[in-house]
Amino acid sequence: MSTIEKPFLDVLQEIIIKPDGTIIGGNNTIYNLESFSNLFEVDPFFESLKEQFLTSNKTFFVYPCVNFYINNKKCYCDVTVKRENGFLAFILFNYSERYEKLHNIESQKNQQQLNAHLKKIGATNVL
Amino acid sequence: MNSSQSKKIVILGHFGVGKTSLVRRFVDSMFSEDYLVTLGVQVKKKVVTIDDAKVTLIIWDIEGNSSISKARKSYLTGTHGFLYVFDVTRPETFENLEDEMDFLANNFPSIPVCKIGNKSDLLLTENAKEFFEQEQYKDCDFTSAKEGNNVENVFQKITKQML
Repeated sequence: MSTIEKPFLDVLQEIIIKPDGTIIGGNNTIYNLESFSNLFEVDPFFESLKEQFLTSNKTFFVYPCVNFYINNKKCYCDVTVKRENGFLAFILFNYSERYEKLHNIESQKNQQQLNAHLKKIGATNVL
Repeated sequence: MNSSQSKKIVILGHFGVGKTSLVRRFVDSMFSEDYLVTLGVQVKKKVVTIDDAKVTLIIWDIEGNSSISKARKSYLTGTHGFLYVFDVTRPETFENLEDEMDFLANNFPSIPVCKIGNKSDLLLTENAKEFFEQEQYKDCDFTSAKEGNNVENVFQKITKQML
């Protein structure tokens, strides 16, 4: 059997948790979860979802472009959560390359507008 | 009162008004002159004490939008409080304030909102100060993320409103 290509192997992470956050499966592609037993303790983003999972009847949640800091490096991920009977499945897709390009474009565009404004009001830096 | 409660706050407003600077000042006690656009959402947390109770604030600092209706809905879901930030030197960031508050009142009734005029250190003239004494800005709070003025107070205020 020929080798099946897995183009997303390095950018996809699956995390399976119990509703209380206990990690019960997945891989370590983006976040190394070996030293964690509960996902809600890994990052404030995950912690903030805890209540939503308890109070919402939805079974599917999508959070585009979440900024994580992993080993002091920013990482942009699209996060999808699927609620199943007795567990939650998180899919993290690392879109950093694409979002970093967008980030540079947006920064330049916004900076130009802010600089024009600063010039108008005669200040040197307002942020 | 539950002593370990957690509250989600979403920071709203146009780009460049200083949302990220306010969060950095509050959470990390830091300020940077460099402007870095926020793409998507960055989530930070800080534990505060209100009337002897500890509250974990989980702060969603979202990308700037000229209108809240353009913000991604999933970012706003499940929030307990909003901080709406505008730049006191840029009228385009506060001229639709009333519409924005109407949007929140219609879509998130009963969720408290604090309106914040940031960059108050740049309100240098009497005319500018008088402008924000008008009726429609009476319930706004004014902060300077750069100098740290009033930043703690607005987070304390929204926390009390959420409890």
